[in-house]
Amino acid sequence: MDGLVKLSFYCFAASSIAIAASAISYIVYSVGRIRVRRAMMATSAGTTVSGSMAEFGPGAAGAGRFGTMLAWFAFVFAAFAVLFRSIVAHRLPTSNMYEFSLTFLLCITGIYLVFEHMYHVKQLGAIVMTIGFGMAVYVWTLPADLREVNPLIPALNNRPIMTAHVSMAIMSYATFAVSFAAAVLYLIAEGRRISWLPNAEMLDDIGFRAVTIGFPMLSLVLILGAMWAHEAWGVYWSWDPKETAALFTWLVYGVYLHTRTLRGWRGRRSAIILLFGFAAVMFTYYGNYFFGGLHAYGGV
Amino acid sequence: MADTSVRTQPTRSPFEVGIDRIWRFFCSVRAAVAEIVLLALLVLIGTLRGSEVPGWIREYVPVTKPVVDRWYAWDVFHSLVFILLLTVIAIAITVCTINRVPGIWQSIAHPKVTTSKGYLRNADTSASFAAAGEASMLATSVVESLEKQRFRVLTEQVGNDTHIYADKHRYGKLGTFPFHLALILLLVGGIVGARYGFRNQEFVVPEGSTRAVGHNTGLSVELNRFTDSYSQLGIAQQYESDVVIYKHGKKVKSGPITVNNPITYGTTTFYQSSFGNAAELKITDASGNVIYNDALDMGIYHLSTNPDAPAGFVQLPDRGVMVTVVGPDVDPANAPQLDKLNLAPGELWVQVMPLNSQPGGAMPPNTKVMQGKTSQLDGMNIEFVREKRFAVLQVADNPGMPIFYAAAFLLVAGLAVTFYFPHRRIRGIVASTANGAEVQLVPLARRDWSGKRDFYRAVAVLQDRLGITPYVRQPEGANDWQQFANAGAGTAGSR
Amino acid sequence: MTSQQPASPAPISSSPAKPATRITANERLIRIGLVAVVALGIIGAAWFVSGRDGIGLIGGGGVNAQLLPKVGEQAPALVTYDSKGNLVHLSDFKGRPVWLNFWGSWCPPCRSEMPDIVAAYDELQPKGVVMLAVSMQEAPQTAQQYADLNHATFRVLADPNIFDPQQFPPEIADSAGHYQIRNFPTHIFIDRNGIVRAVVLEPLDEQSALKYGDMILAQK
Repeated sequence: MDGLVKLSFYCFAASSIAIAASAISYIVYSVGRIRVRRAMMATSAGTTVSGSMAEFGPGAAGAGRFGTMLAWFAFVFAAFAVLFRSIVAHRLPTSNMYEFSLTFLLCITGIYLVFEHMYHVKQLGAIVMTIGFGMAVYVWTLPADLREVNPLIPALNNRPIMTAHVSMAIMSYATFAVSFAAAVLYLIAEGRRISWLPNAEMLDDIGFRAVTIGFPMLSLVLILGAMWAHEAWGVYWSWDPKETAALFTWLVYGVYLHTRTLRGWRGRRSAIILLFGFAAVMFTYYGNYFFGGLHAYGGV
Repeated sequence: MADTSVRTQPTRSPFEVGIDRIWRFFCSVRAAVAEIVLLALLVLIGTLRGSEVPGWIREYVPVTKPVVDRWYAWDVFHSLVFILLLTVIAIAITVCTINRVPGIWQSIAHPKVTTSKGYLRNADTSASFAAAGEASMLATSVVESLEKQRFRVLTEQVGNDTHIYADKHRYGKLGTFPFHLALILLLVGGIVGARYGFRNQEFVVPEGSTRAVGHNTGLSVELNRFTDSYSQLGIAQQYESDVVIYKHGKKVKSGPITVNNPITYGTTTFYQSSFGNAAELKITDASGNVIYNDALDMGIYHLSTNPDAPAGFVQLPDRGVMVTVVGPDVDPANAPQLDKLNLAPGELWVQVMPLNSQPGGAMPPNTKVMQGKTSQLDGMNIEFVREKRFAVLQVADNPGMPIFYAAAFLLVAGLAVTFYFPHRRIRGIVASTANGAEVQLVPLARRDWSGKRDFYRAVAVLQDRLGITPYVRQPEGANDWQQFANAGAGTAGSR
Repeated sequence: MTSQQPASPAPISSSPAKPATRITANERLIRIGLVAVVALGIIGAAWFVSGRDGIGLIGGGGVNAQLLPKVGEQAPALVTYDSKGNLVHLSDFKGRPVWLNFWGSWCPPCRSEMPDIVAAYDELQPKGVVMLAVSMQEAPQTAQQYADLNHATFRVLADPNIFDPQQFPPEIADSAGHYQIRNFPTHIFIDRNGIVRAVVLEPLDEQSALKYGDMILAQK
């Protein structure tokens, strides 16, 4: 079994590298080509004046395809990392920050690839894969003893609810990362005529579509968490900091949805709320670092 | 949906005007958004209060010290402001929802079918098909095609023109009601739980003892055995209390309680919470009558001068005394400074004091008693039989739980219906032209990308059906409509 | 505004025509080769990175850690002094079932179970079971005093970790490595052939102790 733990870590390393390479490819694709042309001009005085002209053009489609291939590699390696660890632990790896982040890598690459398949907007990858890469870097900085598979403490030992609660949380965070990426791209694309960036209204829609998936998931996270708390501690809501941080995130996306559906907000204002929303997601994700409370276990 | 016609109502009293104003305040989306933003801010303040963040601020910006101190002192989630805000939001949700019912119902049951040619002309997105032949035939084909695509199609004849209104997933609009009802129910559940339930977080039962639950339940709990098991690494694996539950002295239920697996009898639920060590004592008077024979939990309390010295006490009202017991210090490093009693394993320090004694009096009589031995104190024989363990259970009766579960279901179901069954609407007019007939269709999807996409999909199907290439007008910057129709996620029900 | 003028009434295909891309066998080979090269590159880089970050150290801890003897295997050697200063070897009791109890008089759960342990051993001892109670993290004399208070008849042994291998037989320190106790009490039941039959990481009551005792007695 120790071999599988090693192999899982090895696959995680491969996934980290693939996600880094994928992020770079997508960025190259999104930034586009900058062509520098030297121009020579003969003046009437008989001298020649030379100058450089920068020209922006769409990125090489090859870089985008390469990014997609690498994203697939990141996804597959993360899947193996999660699979091997699950075999050892007899559960999904979701009990400490190392395991949680490992599963997050799987979900963020997977959900990104779904969105890429649906909308063919590879520029999203430049942002989503960079977030994924940041997460991978963070995992490498975690204490090495978290890489071991440990038995669950009694409070966590509720496999059906833990699996549902934590994996829902991971998937909602990953989906919000996609909506964040769409919002950032929207703010770049809006008002500027960058021909190779996707249609701004479509980006706005991608952001909304991602929230319509992430928001019910986050609601389920809160509900399942409450059900679990009720079983383990006899109280379904105890104003625990991580709980209220998730509630805060939920409210931010609630504002986004209400302004959008009832007041018809679109575009820039909506995108800015999405940026706030993702900041709240990050705050909730890393909350363990500055909160105590009921979620402070699993060695960070 | 706003009623723009101005009516003069000279008979309205100031009271009516006031009610109307309050009603309009609660209905206003702007106010609702402000309320959610305010709630989010309070939640953020309360969340950060549970963290070290305010401490960091205080450290780096010393000027903020008084503010941060007050921040830490303010229990946001139980404050009046927070409860008032929740109340306002609950009222706003109720009022808003009631206010939206007629409009939503109107658009579901009796939508306005007729439109105007000007409206169609000015729309940024539209599709028109020009066909040879009768207008009525074209209208029939369009209606049939849309109906085949699961649109509800309503038509109205205005002069020679046929006005078309088609919509899909109209009941999806109702999703907002279960969702908002769920939010109200969550609050109601919380209130019901707090008002009609009870929660004892520290219900202590030593092994072999029976303790009454109280709270008018008539229940008592006997602990047969408490077991804590560990992995070889020393990580706890399970805490288990094997209990018997009695109602008015009659056994009604028994079994193990573990973390995550509580036992419920009636509406009262018992949860595994904590554990510790207890001292079994037998106290008799001079003539041998048993005064006390039970296990006394040690460690919930501790010696005031030494937090590592577990202590327990029992009141014996018949004798008017309280017996206090202290066990050996759990940290050997505390001797001799902190641990002045210096008890060896198997020793207890016992003190007997009158129930009505005032602090600061003379030192009450005390003695040490060894395990398996008996000591005399204050006319009583105190025997330290053995050590045992006790379990701390949590006992709770939360009648709000069924409401919570109902709310959870409504919330998720409401969201799913709202998001995955979006209301799609198309308006159009079929009219006769010089060359035959023409139909012009417009989606109600302003600045709504996927709404337009679904419209283009419907147009593509219509094109196949009619065998006519439409004239499609798209807003500036839009893709070619046929590519557009193929892009993006499939919406539930379309295609 | 982009527009498509109503042209001929002839219907066009409803889906946009995709550019016909025909991949030659050669190109396909190149593509597969590219994917393989990238995969190999990632695998190689992962090998390098994970090797530098100590992949060799991973996997031995957590659920895979081996701190205690395994059930079904030969019990490793245990050598230490008893509370009276006699050197005791586990192998001295070859042919008899042995009940090892790692405990401490400072440990409240150990004290709670002690009367049950004593009662169970009073029943098992005449049947041939030997109990060795290794008192951890304290002087064996302290533990002996507490055992006497409970009228215990088992032998109290000293924690093998407290003996410096420079001054005492090094086998004692070796046995400390075979029995790395993180839980108090820890009970290990060994049959008469020296095979470990149960490792119990929770306190026992009289009944369950008797059950384990009878189990090792039953092994021939």
